[in-house]
Amino acid sequence: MRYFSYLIIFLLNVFVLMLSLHAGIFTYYPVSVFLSPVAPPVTFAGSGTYPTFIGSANTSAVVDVVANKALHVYDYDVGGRVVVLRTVTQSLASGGIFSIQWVAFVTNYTDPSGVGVILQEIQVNIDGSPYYVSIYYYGGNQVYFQGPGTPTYVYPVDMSVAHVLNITVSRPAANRLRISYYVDNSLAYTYDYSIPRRAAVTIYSVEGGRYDTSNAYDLYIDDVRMRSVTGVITSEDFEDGVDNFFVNSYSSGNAGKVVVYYTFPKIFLLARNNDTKTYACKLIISPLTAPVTASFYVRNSTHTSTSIKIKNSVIVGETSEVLLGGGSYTYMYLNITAPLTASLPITFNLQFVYRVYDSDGVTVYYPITVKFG
Amino acid sequence: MKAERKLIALLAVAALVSIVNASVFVYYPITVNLQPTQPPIIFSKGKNAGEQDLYGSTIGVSMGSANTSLTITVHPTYQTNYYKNITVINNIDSSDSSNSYYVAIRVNKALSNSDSKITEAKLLIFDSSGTNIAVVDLLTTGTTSWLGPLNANGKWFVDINITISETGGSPGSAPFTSDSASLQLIYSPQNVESAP
Repeated sequence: MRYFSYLIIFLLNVFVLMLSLHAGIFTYYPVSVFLSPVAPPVTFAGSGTYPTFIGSANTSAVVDVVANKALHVYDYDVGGRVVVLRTVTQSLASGGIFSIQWVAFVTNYTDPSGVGVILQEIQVNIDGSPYYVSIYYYGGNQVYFQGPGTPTYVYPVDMSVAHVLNITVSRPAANRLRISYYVDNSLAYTYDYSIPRRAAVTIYSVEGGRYDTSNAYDLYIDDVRMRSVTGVITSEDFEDGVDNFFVNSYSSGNAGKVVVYYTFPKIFLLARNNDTKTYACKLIISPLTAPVTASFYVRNSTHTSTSIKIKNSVIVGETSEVLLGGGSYTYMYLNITAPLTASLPITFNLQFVYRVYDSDGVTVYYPITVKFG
Repeated sequence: MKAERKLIALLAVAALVSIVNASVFVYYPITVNLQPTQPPIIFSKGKNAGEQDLYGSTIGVSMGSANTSLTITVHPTYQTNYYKNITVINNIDSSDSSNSYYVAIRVNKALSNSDSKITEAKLLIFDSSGTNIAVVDLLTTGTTSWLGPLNANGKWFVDINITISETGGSPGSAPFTSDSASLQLIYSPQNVESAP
């Protein structure tokens, strides 16, 4: 009992000693945090493309993207091929006109053998021999106009967005064909091709895709409009979920065509820099799991960011930065596709992120909700 | 007569009591020696102190002459504003590798948030490896538990995250005029006792 008492007393002494060593030493430093808010230096504005709700301070946005349908022409097989085709077989007499038009966007292009992708083509038979009037894409920001009797014409065009393509073949005189290429409703190139006066000219077919193999790509086609030599208009917007136009198509391997929910790359939101200093901006996206393929990116007047990429889930979660100069705009783009079996709407939760260029001192995040469907 | 005698007796007793209690004063000598030292914990400016803030302002970080007081001024706008690496907490007590200090942050006066525009206001502390070791809510008063220890020659980095609702706001005006919070950084070589 005595030893136990000694032990208790000893432990108490140790405890008191520890307290005397460490306790009671508390040092206090004052810290003040002042908030002096400012008006938002960067504000949103609607693009006019889609119904958009902008928050009262223009620092948030909800965008309702209409899920239109389009034809997805895909070739994911370097040994496969797909050609979407409609046989026409109409004679083009002197004074006749035939044209084909559709909206096209090509993406995910790989072409190690350089065979290209035909964005649009008319096969014209002259006295039974086939001639092809084509718009090719080989990569980069240009397309190639190819036709009979003329060198290939290279036409520079921004291929990060869709374009309205039109080829018109007319016969202004018995011995001449006039071939005209239009991009976004503007004449891009035209020339005349001499033919025998008594030549039998037949508009044989219209097509897209590529017969040659070894490439891989996605091609989206919408709003097809064909003017026959008799002036009859045939159109197809795929909104019934069925392709009633390219009825003579063929494919092999992992390639084909299917009608899907689709939006061509379009501006869905603008951001304006109200400040005089330059900001760097980008988009980031929250995790998502849905049967959808999508990309989002940002552009200023000279540069395009890398893309957010989604294929059933987020593959790349943020874009690279582009600069937003004082008083200038940046443009936010989207490109979304989903199978017709997808349950809509699909909601994308993004954030527009900006910081003072050359500094990571302050970073500002604005929420953006994109509803597809 | 009896009453007079009683009164006299009571006065006598009172006088006696006062004699007994008075004039007994005992004095022990106590010496308090102050031997000030340089502060072992000091503030310093973070990488982004003085960098450009939104519009024409800068991220304001100022310290007292001994780096033992700190004032931070930031200029957020609507939505989420993240200020990174604006202040550093340094343990400069390198006399002994065991000279570590535990640190706590006390919010004495929270942001007033009078119109409820601020939906989130956090002061975040990270160690040199980037690990978050504290999130201090600037909207409520209170004291964190002891953090650390902050080892000799160690550094901790301070970020601030402010989220302001845009409800009722306007693109041409600031969300509100100003607001402030008063805090204390508290440190101690022990973490057994809480700071008073």
